[in-house]
Amino acid sequence: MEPVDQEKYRKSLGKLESIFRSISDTASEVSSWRCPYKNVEDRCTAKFGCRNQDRPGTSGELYLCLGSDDIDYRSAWETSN
Amino acid sequence: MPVTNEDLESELGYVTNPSEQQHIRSLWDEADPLMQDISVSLIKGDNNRVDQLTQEALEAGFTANTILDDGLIAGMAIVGVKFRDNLIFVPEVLVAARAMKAGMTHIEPILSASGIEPVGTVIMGTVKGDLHDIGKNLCIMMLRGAGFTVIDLGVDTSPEEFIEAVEENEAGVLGMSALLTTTMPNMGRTIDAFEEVEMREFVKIMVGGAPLSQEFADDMGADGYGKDAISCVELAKAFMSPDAEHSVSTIG
Repeated sequence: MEPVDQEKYRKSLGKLESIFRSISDTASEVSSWRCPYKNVEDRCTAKFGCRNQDRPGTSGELYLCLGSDDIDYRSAWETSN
Repeated sequence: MPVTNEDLESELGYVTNPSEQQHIRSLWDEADPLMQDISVSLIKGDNNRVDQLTQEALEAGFTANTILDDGLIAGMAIVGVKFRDNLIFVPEVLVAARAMKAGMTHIEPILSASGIEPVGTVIMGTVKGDLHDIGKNLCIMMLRGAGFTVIDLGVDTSPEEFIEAVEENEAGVLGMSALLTTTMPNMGRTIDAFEEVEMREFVKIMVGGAPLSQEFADDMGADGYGKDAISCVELAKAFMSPDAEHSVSTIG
């Protein structure tokens, strides 16, 4: 198997880091108005309870998130196990 | 070679800025269709498919550099654009990052055989009693992207589990996350536990989470406080540098 070209690899890491920095910046911005656990289908991916979680339609499905992006989502998070 | 994969062409349609689309499209200018398949599978977050295709690509003679650049990173570039434009959100980004890790599992042994070792090993976990993990997961994604080996202990991690993981993996850095004011003290308890087993001097400890501050990190005896995923990576890099003894306690 051909060894890795170290110079190319360093450049690749640089590209990837640049993409991830942009992602991190976006994550900080988006989390100011949308719960970071809410996926693109408005389903909740959190491992903890939240008052915005509605019952899933079929077993195994993630909870539907009923939270509005106009209201601070943090107050709905359950804070005990 | 132009983009021939229909799904990838469709993904490129989300990049609406013409010059940006031209730039991103050029990432596949010299890419084999198999690399395009890897990119699409990563964008979709299909870690099993990325795992399988990366293996196939290596067996077919593609270099690790090619797979990394033309398959995995090129796909992640589109994920970044879709996230920036609110077409996807943090959970989808993390699923794509998991798919990337599946591909990297095949690349890492080749890196090692080529004399490229990980920057360092970092143990990451959310403290005991806390189930909030999204900030930690973003940090892990970024640390792996920066060349670190990361052991993810998940959520609700006890001091004993942190100690065991540091010992077992000979990790130089430990990262703890907490989102609740009620669980924040468990960071201090974990640091105390490292003192009790006389391991504190062997590991740099960084902490992060929404309710934390530099002052709180200093009070509990952490080596560093990261306010976001970027500063988490910069802290870890500073800890691994030869003059780590003089490294800053906060970045960002």
